Amino acid sequence: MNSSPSNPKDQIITKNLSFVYESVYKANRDEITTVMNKEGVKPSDNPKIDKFKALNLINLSIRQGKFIAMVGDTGSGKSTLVRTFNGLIPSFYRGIFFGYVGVFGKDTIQEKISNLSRDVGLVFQNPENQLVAMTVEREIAFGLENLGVERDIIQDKITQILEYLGISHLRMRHPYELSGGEQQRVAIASILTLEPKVIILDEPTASLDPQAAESVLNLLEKLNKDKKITIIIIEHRLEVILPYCTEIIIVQNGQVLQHASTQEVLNSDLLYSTDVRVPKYIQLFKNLKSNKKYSGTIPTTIEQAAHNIRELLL
Amino acid sequence: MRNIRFENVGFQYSNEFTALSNISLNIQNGEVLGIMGRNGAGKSTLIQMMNGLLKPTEGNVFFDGITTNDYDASKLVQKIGIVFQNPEHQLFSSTVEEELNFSLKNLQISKDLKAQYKDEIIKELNLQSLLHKSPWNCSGGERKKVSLACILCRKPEVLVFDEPTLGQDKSGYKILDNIIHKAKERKQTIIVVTHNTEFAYHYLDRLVVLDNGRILADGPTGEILTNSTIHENSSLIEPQFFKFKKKMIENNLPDNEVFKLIVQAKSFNEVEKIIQNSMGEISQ
Repeated sequence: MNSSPSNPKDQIITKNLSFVYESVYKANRDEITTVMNKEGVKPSDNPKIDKFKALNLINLSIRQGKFIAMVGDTGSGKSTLVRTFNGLIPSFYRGIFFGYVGVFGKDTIQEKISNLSRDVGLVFQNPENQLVAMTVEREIAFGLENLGVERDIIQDKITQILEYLGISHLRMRHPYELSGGEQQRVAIASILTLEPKVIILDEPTASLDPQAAESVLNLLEKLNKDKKITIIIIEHRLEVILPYCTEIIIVQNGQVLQHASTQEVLNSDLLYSTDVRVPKYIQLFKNLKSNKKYSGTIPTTIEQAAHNIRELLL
Repeated sequence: MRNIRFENVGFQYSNEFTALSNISLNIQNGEVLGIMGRNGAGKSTLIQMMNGLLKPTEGNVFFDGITTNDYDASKLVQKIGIVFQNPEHQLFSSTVEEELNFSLKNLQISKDLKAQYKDEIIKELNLQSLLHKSPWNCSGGERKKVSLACILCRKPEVLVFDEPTLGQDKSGYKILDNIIHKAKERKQTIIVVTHNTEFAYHYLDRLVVLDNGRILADGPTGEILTNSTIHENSSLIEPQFFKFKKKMIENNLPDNEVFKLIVQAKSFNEVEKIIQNSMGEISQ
């Protein structure tokens, strides 16, 4: 997508990105030999090492300010792909890395992880996995303290962010006493302190109740609109994410099957050929279109679906 | 009768947080029951009391007429299989196959039967390609499948799932659909904790809604999911098809035969058929 000339400093770009996981279970750790050079990491030829190709020649360009849903079958490589955007792969995962990932003009192989993580914030499915402090305030301060920011500035920033996210009342609470939705907001708050250009969320609402999920997504929409932060969400449930996303990336077998606007993806046949579960009302409109009974846009909310059917019948 | 009965059950964690209070609940053999409610409502605590992982601090939980305090713990765990929400919490072997072997190890059955149980589950869940993979190299959805296999291979009498649809694609759903259908045919009791309204609407017969550790509602799924008073207090949402129909009739009903048929339809498939049959092709 995006064929017009553009500035690499405004984008996440991947060129021929490939990654093969190497598992250590069959070999002793000292038997594993991986050599890193400028082109990436050379494969070990030790037969005891189990290899699994997760990404295969991925070429992508993600422009700043987009709200992107990343979908695909389980095991298709979605989580692996986003972990290359902040350098977690290849730095913290054993395997063979090939190709190029450029984050706002910075090569993730050359750049320090700490610099990359300022630009690209990652939020996991279970917020408990990334909350470590005894109070929400300390949790949010953590990133800034590590950067050596002055205490007064940290305090001001925490106040601002908590107010912005509507969670000032949680400031002195223990993160583990909070509900899932509140914990997810705290995880997002702690990332916001670093003023990232991109926030990537790996199934952020999967374990939240429906109302909490909606409030987290509304918050992300606000961040996207107010602060022009790029949002990339891995999500299995299309019905949850469709009302929000402007673009969809479909990942299949370690490759990008399609990257296009939401409407383009819903109109083409590729999505329906994958293992992604498509909401029944979307499938209904897609079938009506295929049979030439409907020619409008495919609705992304149930309310729109009802409206469009009414219009069609009147 | 293989029923599970809660009698005035309360549970307080050691930090004095009260997770459940005054729960009375009777789950009959063969029921397909859902437990829903906000994050932190007490759903996971409730299911962990069923196989004795947690013991009530007030009242009693009975399985088969015997309290979980008196039941032989190892037998109870085998009879009531719980598939947890985070597969990471129940996987620890270095390959998927070892994981299955471990699961079957403590079953008091012959070696041959163990091998048979293992083969059956590998086929049923299509695990062949994962057998030699480390569970930690599996994707989230695959790990979920493995954790499911480790419980199912032991053929428990009661199946309990904590958020089984989490991270599952179409194939994962199909497997789940298959498991639930087979269990229903065998009249096996199934208990599912879920936030997934669509899943609940299609698969579960009865819903228990928890709020702040208490039972807020208990009844047939259709009634509970369309009751707006329950929604306000429990973070539930309406199934999509209900929302769709409500929206369709929100303004004045147009005097149109097709419209009247659609309002009576019971699924999106029916709506599609009605439109396909009643409309001619439109010029693009």
